[in-house]
Amino acid sequence: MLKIADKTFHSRLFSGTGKFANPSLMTDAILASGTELVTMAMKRVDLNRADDDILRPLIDAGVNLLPNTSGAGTAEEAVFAAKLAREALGTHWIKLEIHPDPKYLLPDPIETLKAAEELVKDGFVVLPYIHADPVLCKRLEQVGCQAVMPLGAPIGSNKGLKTRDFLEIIIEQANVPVIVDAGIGAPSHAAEAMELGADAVLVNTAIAVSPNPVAMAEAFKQAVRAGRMAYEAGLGGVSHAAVASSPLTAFLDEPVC
Amino acid sequence: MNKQAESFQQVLDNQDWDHVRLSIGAKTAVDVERALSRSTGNQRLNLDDFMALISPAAEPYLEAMAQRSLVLTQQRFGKTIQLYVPLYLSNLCSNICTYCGFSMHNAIRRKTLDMAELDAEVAAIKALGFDHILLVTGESERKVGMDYFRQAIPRIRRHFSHLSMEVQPLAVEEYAELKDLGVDAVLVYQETYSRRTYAEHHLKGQKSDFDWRLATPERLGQIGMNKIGIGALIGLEDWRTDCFMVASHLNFLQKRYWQSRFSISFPRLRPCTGGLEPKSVMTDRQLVQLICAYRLFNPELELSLSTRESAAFRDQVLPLGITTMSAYSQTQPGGYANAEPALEQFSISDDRHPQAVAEAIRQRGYQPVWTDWQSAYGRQMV
Amino acid sequence: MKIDVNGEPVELSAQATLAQLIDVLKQDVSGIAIAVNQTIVPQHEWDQYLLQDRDSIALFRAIAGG
Repeated sequence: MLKIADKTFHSRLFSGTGKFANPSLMTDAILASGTELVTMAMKRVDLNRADDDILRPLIDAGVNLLPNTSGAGTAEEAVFAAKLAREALGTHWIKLEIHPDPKYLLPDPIETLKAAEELVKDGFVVLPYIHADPVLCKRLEQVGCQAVMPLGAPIGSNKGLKTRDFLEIIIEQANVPVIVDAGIGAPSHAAEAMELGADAVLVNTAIAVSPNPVAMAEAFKQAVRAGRMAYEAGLGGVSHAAVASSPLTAFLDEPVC
Repeated sequence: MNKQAESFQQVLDNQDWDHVRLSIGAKTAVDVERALSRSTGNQRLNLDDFMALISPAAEPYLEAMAQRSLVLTQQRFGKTIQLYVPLYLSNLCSNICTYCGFSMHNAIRRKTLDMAELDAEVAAIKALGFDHILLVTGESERKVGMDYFRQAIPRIRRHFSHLSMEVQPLAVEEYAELKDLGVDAVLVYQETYSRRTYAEHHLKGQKSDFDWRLATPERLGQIGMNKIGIGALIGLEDWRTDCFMVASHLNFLQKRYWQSRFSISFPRLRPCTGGLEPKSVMTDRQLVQLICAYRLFNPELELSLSTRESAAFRDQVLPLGITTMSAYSQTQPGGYANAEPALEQFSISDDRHPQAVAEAIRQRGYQPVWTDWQSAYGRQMV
Repeated sequence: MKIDVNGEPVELSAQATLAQLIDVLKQDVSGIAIAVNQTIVPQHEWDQYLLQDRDSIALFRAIAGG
């Protein structure tokens, strides 16, 4: 069971809601994944169309909503987006996502830290999305973020845990839950993140654009469970042959005068 | 994510001493091999792994642990050993501790350096080549407290690139002030993490307050002291259990005070005026095991070996995980300018001249370092 | 008066409150947030909030994405 702020989760797989072929496929896949938390964006309403309430089935299924500030390029815009989300959805949870770079969608550390501090003071439960920078994660923890979301690889790249070494450091040093977000392209990546000791993973693209999103969602569900179980059972290390060299401790066998 | 307790006292009180001791004893070869392969696989070790490495089951694996410890230490610290020297400012003490030569009820001549004597000591120490210094006192708050330190530290600090202190536990504001005065590190040893045994050995004085002492590293972390030293006095209790508690303490502190560096020392109980038989005797072999275990558990730790150990032992052990050593330590106040054995805190085993120690370090293929520029950077040298 | 809603000009014949505007636009009240001239107006104020000429209104909704 994973505790973040005021909520407890049985599933350590979180999901995005974007990029699905159609809303009903999204709903089916998300329900198949067993996730209890999904992210979504805040956008201006299209006045010429009646928007389907695509999130309604998820809310009815008891899935928690985590709005994000996607689209914001500065701390100010992100804070504004967060307040809109709180207003619209009635939740004080927010995923801080500030990427001024539209090509790689990499998060801005400075604006994120600034926005996090302000939002925490305003009573938000802030989950910041950032690069796998261990020091930045500690700084965000210091200003009161309730979890950190370091990336495995750029959004949508499906490259897996390119930042593995740094995720390990973050996991070791964190006093808040670590949710690996972005770049997870296959269930094996998700399992790997969980084996490292991550508290949860967030997957979007890999499920949404799979030819069979419902099956892929189920695969991820199992991978996250397997990885976590392995971590809790205690993983052995990789065996390396010892380097032969003159004994360092033979001196201890010599008789003491 | 790791759920943090409020204080280390909470962590300690939630552990049963005998349960820990038995758990260590119950570790098997399988546990040790797992810990070793996690280390060679570049995975982070946890407290359970540390427990395996200090257990009796790890004794046959000593050579493998030493090999790994050597590699890890070289990767992090290079082939270098930092040299430092302790300067005893005073042997005045208002505590009664059964194991210490400075104990209040020991009839030794008490001495506190006045400023002129202090200057002479500093000059003598500089002539020996040292640039890192550790200030040591007994624990006499009234006579050798903040007022004394405020006077002494500025006189000393300008001559050294790194200044540590090992004195009585102080309050948060006092540590903040010491930090401003230029203190880089504070060492405070819990001696033993067993409350009951602690009470048996600390009979009188402020040091009899177990919790106040225990919380000292947390106070240091709070004000951002650059380096914090902890440790147990090996021999007061079952050494494995006490050393496990040190590792547990380190674990807690590192999680909370991520911007501080940590240093561990492993003083073995030595004969002193007053004499005390250790409850548990740690052999040389076991000390090597402990040093390697700390290194495998925490590749970034500073591990310090003092002159309590013999010259021969120190020379052999220095590549196996040690990063800093004292040399030519005079444990009586005024000992550098002139020596007088009866005032000593404990008798020294390695009394070689610093240059001899430096040469021995070179013989082992390591470089003796007098000045750690990383420490000096950013400090204003008055 | 003329106001701007999500970039589109809207003409209102008489004084209107935010609540009335949403009605006119046939928007589902649940799940939206409104900012007038970049300041968020909380839902419980919509009934009383009177629109002024040249107000810029932005309506937001949480949508699938990210």
